[in-house]
Amino acid sequence: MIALLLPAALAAPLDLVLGGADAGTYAARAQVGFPWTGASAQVGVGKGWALRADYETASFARHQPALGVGYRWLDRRWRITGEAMAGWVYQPGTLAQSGPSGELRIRAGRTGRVVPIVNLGMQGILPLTRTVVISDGGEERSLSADTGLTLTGGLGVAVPIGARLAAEAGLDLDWVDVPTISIPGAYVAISVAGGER
Amino acid sequence: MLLFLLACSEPPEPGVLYDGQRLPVVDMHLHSGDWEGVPSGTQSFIARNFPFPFNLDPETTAKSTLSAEGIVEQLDIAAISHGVVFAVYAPRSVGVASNETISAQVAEAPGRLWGLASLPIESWETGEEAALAQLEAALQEPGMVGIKLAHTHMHQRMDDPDYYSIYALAAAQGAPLYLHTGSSPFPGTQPDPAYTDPRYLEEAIALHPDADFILGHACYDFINEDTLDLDSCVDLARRYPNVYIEISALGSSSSDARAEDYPVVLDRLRSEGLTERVIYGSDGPQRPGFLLAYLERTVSVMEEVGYTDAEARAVLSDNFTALFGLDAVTL
Repeated sequence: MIALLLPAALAAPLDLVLGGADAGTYAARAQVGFPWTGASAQVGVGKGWALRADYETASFARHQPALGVGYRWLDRRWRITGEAMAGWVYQPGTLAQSGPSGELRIRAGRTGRVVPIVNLGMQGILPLTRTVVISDGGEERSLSADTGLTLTGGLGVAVPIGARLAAEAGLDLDWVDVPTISIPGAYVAISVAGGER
Repeated sequence: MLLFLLACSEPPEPGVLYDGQRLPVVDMHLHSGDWEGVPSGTQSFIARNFPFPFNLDPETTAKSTLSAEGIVEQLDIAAISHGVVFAVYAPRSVGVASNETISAQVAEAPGRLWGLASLPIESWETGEEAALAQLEAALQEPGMVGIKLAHTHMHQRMDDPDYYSIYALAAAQGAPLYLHTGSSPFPGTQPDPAYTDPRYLEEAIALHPDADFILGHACYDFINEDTLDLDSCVDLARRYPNVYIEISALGSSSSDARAEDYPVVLDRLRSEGLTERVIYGSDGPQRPGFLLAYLERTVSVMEEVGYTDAEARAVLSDNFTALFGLDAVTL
């Protein structure tokens, strides 16, 4: 699961490391890892708020696009931010599931030359099942929804490279589709920031 | 990542440490076969037992553990000397792993694997003779040492005399019979007691004293997760010298999450004086690392309920080799 967007303002790239954004800034991030690979983009809209878009895939077999907002709550030596996302989960194959999803995330980190990051979140899914019963009486269609829960979490470290770039590495500790056992993952990511505050 | 490291490391010293002694191990219950031969409902059931993200591509995960190479790799990780893979003909539940598939796998690892043959019973009224001939031919293949049946998976009543010809063939061939007993968690199985409770086998056992019957899973009820039918196993093993009890799967973390039933079963078998009839198996490979995990849990429970070194050795390898007429495994 994408652990973090690393936007960076022109003069102070770590100002936005932990989500949220100032008006006039934007950032993009790409992550590769096992099992999660993905990309994110974020635009600051002012007063700590940001609009963001995520796409992430687990082993290219589970796909999760999402749109949402981020907000920076605390901005001192430690920074705490939160995000609310709405999207879709699409997972074909033997354990196929597809349906809308919603996710809440919170993350914290300490600013500096090396930025440790911790994030926690919770994602709910409503996998939809379409059933078609064909009988002598005709065709009957129905739509039902199940529920699914994923608990997200991760630990990472980000390092700014100049004014517009940041590199990041970390562990994904998601518990996907509780109670299915999940194996921890790992990732590396790079972020590009731009705009002016 | 742990599995990756396990796979990259040198195989451990063979055997398992028990009370300071290293004992050889034979895992008499392993599955193989083709993913394509498994019904879709059972594929889903299997996939749900794989951890994320391996459950996203269960076919690849299954193939990596169902091949002869994959099974031997899992045996190596668990330091188990030999494994026994089962042919299965249960198209309405768990699928098909043909005799040809199993004998080919045994041939790929002749020093490590033995096989149990089986037979299709879907057209028994018209195809009995051909099926028995197929079974007999499979038993002539190198390393094919016994017969596997699963009445609940195959929809075959335990007390149906129509199938007694299988037991007669087993006796004539000197091939022990492994029978799934107790209910099964898989979709498409037949859960009625006549298919799961070995009390219904008594007539067959009594009529075929030269056939050896191994009651798989110690009659564990995998649906309700209880040991009520253990009485049937114990009763039959006490009264018939040709009855053995195998202890796979019931002690796994998914079947016995509270870790309460496995100690009850192993303690009961020991207190009933049946340790010379108990045979170890895991019901793997299931998922990478399962063989090691099940062996560790079994050894831990044996120690907990007081099995001696000799009793542990008997259960883990000697009872199997003696029953199947094989040389005792040494380390």
